[in-house]
Formats: sequence, structure tokens, C-alpha cells
Amino acid sequence: MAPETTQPNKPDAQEEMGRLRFMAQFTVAAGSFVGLGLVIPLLATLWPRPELLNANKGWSPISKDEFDKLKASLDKPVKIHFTKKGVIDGYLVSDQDYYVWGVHMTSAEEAKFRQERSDLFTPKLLGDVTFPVLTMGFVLFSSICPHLQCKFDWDDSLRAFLCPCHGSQFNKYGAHMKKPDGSYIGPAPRGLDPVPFREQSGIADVEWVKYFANVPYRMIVSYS
Amino acid sequence: MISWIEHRTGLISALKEFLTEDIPGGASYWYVFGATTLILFTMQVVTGIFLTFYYSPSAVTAWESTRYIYEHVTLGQFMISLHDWGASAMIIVITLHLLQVLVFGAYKRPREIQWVVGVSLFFFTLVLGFTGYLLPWDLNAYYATQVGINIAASVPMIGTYIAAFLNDGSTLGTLTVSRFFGIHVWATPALLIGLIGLHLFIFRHNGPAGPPSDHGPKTIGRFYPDQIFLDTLVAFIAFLVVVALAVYMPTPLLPKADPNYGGFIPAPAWYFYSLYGVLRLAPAGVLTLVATVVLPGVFALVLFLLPWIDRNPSRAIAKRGFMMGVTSITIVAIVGLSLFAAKAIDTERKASPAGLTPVAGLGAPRVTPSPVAVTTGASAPAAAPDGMAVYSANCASCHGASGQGLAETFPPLAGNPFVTGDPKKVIAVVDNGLHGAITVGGKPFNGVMPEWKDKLSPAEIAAVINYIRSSWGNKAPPVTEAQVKAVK
Repeated sequence: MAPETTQPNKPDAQEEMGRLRFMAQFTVAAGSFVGLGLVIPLLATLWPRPELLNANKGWSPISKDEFDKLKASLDKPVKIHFTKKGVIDGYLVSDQDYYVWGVHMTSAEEAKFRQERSDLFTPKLLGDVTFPVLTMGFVLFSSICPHLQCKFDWDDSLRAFLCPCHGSQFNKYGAHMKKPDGSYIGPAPRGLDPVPFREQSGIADVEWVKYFANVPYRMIVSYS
Repeated sequence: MISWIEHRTGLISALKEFLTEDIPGGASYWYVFGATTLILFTMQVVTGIFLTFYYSPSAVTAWESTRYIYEHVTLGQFMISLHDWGASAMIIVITLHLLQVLVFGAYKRPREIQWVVGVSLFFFTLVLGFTGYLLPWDLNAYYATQVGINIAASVPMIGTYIAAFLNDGSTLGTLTVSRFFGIHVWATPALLIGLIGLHLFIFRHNGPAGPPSDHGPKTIGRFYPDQIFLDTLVAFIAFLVVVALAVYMPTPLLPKADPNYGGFIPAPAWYFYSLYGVLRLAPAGVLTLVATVVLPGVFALVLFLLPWIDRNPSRAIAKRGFMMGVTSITIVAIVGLSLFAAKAIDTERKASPAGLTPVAGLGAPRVTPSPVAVTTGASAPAAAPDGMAVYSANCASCHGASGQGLAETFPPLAGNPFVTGDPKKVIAVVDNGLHGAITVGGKPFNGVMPEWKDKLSPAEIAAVINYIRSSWGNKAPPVTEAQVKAVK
């Protein structure tokens, strides 16, 4: 019965085909619209916002005692402790204690430093140090080994910074030390990393920066 | 009853359809690895679900909740260890499955897509391993993940973006734990379950490949019960092995992650040792990049595209000498690199054992659990310092994790009469350090003991002295903070 009623009207069959095609296309289009409409904003939520990437950038004051310690450190490097207030870690905020290694140099030593650490003063393609490294004869080094981010210590008998993890040695100026045969002592890819330091009318500030590990150039990756 | 269910659901005929499958050449132990991987994965899902009942992903609770599972959840340590050993077992078995398919030439036409889905499953399993490794938030979890993210960050152009995405920001912190948790617990397993379905669907579409020969086998075996029996047998043995390991070698939990911790030598999960070995062998500079990014990238790409790279139509092993050679060399290289990395990590950890004494699990020195509640935030009272933590952070790198010392340089503390002797003298040495030659137990030592009075508080010094006077067989009365303060 049914075929007989539709057979005379061929245009109807075509119309039916068109209707089917429209429904199929509409389903795909609406589905894609809803799907992409969800997926794109959802993927965007995974991307950290700039305020997270640059969180915690800023100066921390060095206490008077610590600054006096730095001033008196002409014979050997000293640890300079400071507290960074309100360090943001996602939704958590806390005060964090850090330390850097401070070196106080005479003007003769400053010249030696510029010579030994010429990499810090020459512009490079990648990883320039964009802040003044030497301020009034003071240099502050990050306490993190540039190899794999261990904490190193000053060894008085070696007269060198010695990293306990893989044995890299750095002299007072932070230069990666060499053996008599010219090869480096330990696997560090670069000398010690300087951190920004400033002094204004007797008040000293330090900026905690963390560099990318195990590469010969210096790239700041975070401020906490 | 059965027909009643069948009428209303069609499940019985579906099960019959599922179990009826011809196996060319008959059932074989060679074909058990896929099913065993699936069963181990199911076990991981189940143990993982139970772990989420207690685990809390944030920088202030991740380690604490993990420790809570170890110490205060009934069979909690067993559950964690089962999940950890199950992960290792799954990686081993999925690798065997991959190798079997590779050697049998079963990736060839018409099974190319099935192979690609299978390789994706392999890599997503590694993603599960990498993301799960961070979650306990102990020192090793933290620093090993740091190394992993550093490697990802060294990819040219997009590396910093990958690192920012993985970290969710610029540092490894609380957002990283919750991100890794989401990837480990929801995103990857969901994807994996879908891909397993696809893998099995295509498998049934193509049917089993059979033995590695170019002539179809004469005999035909049955999937049920022959192959199912072998699958069950091997999966059961794998289960028993994992349970035994979880009971006798519970996964250690190290002290809590601390970004300012000095001298800790991280180790990745053993299945990433080969990658770590490449990183260690590569010289600095551009070659590091080649070793850590280009080499694994090429390896992954070749694995994915293998059905199109290997144009040899034959499946017979004898006619595929080149492929077998390349496969063998790759296996030897991966095993060799892993052994090299294991040795390097072991040597470094012996020289610098700071932070390696577990708090719980295999090798943990004490059985007294921590208090049930973990105090956090402003209401936390000043807790007494933990002597063992002070020791592993400051002393263990020279005197050894178990007080054994180092020949000719650092004297042992275990069985050292000076340590268990006059408390004032012990306090004085810790306070002011010690230089020059000494003799302990008839053996000479000449090293430098630093001063600790400026670095540690009197309470910490008292705690660490009590720790060394009461550990490794030493038995001496405790000292108090007041005694420490009295010694100048």
C-alpha cells in the first residue's frame, strides 16, 4: 500500500533524501559545535595565566645583621639568609626562607672577577644576564648548583664551592674550576648563577631567581 | 533462568560470541601478555580508586595524606605497595606484549591501526607512571619530576610552554600535584579504557595473527577455554608475584618534598632509567638536546610508524633478519643504558645519602607511627624537631644514612664510644665542629666537621644528638635542649 501512494510523486522521494541529508548534516554540525564549544574553552583552562608564570617576582630585604656579615666577608663567601614574604604557590601563600652566597670583593678582586666571569658581562644570543652582577663590590650567587639544582657549600680547605651531589667545584668568583689537565671538575654546565642585588642608602635587597638547570646558558624559570 | 536473562538483555549470546574465537595454530603462552596487561590494568584501577578515598592532592596535604595511608589506614601500606608494584608489573607485561607482536610481525597489514592504538596504550601507560610518581610528594617524587620537567623544558621553541603547562605555572608546586592527579586519575585512565576498547574491537575484526609464518597454520585452536586458561594462569601468577612483592618489599616513602633540600640525589622510576642514562651520558649543550629530546622522539615516531617503515611483507622471523637485528640492538641499548643509570644513581646516592632514609615502607627505621592528625597553618604548635630528619638533612651525607661513616675521612657514629659518652663533649663537637686527625676504633680519620651552632637551633641539636645516641645499636641517655644551651 504505502509504496503505491509514494511512487507517483518522485519529487517527494527526492525531498525525503534531502531531508535525511539535512538531518545528518545538522546532527554532525550541532554535535561538533557543542563538542568544540566545550573542548576549546576547557583546554584553555589548563593554560597557566601570566600572573602564575611571573608570580613572586620582586625584591626581598636583607636584614642589617646579614648585610653586615656580607660586608665583612672579604676573606671568604658567606651565606646570606633572607625571608621572602607571601610566596604564592597556586592557592597557597606562605613565607619562605632562602639563602644566597655573598662575596665581598676588593677592587683588585673585582677586576679578577670580571676577567674570570667574562661570560656574565658579554652579551650573548641566548641567556643574557640583564642585571648588574657587581654592585659596590658585592656579588650574590644563587645557592642552587647549575647542574641539577643541589645545594652546594663553601669548603674552606679546598677554597672552593663544592657541590655534594656530583662534585662540581667553583672558585670564590663562581667560576667552574678545572683540573691541571684543563678538564672541568664535576659536570656543571656553567659557573655559579648570580642573583640581583641592590643597595639604597644602607638598605640592601636581593631578588630570588631560579635558573633553568643543566644548560650552558642562563634562563630565569621562576622567582620562588 | 539463563534464557530469561538472555531474552531481556542479550548478554548470554554476547558472552558466547565474545568467547568463540578461532586461534590460528592453537592457544599459546606467547599470546598471554595482552590479557595479562588488561588484568593488571584493572587491578591498578581498583587499587587506585581505593587510594583516592584517602589521598589529597595539594602541596600541604599530598605527603601527609600518603603517610596517613601508610600508618593509619587498615592495610594502607599494602594498598599503596600493590599499586606501585602493579604499575611496574603492568609496564613489564605491556612491554613483553609489544615485543611479542614485534617479533611475530603481527603489526603488518591489515593490523596497522591496531598496532598504532597499541603503541598509544604503551605510551599512555608511561604517562600514568610519570604522573603517578609525583603524587606521594616525597623528596624523590619532587626532584625526579623536576628533572623530568626540566627535560621537557629543553625542547626547542615550545619547551618552556610544555614546562609551564606541566607545572601549571613556573614552579613545581601545589598546582602541579593537582594537575598530575587529574591526569593520572581521570584523563589518562579514561583515554586508556576507550583505547583498550578500540584495540579489542579491531582485534576481533582482524582476528588473531597466529604464528610468525607466511603460510596459514594447519591447526585451529579455541579461545575459550584453551587460551583463556593460559591467560588466567599467567595473570594469576603475575598477581601472586605482585602481592608477594607488596607484602615483603613495601614501597618506601621518603621525607616530604622540600624545595630547599640540599644534596638529594633523585632517581626516576626504573622504567625511565634508560632515558635518564641518555641524559647522564650526553655532553652538555646541543647534544643534551639530541639525547634527551630528539632520540626518544625519533624512537617513539619509529615505533608508531613501524607498519609503514618496515615494508617487508613476510612475517617469518627467518626472513626478517634486519628487523630482528634492529630490535635486538634496541633492547640491548635500553637495558645497557638502564644499568648504567642504575649504577650512576647508586654511586651518587652512596656518596650523598641525604634524605634517603624512608619514613615508611621498606627500609624505614622505626615503626612508631606519627600522630594521627597533622597540624597545619597558624594553629600548629611549635613541634619538637625530628632528630632523624635533622640527621638525614645535615649529617647523613658524611656520616652515612646508618651512621657507618666513610673510611679515613668521616668517623662512624654507630658503635662509636665518643658518641655515647659524655654529652657535653658531643654537644661541643656538634656546636663547634672538629678539625684534624682523630682515631676511632683504632682507625685514623681526618676530615672536617663543620660548626652547626649557627645553622641548627639548640632544640634541633638536642634532637639530632638524641637520634645518634639511640640509633644503630647505640644506647645512651638523652640530652636536653637546656644541656645544649649550657655548652658554649
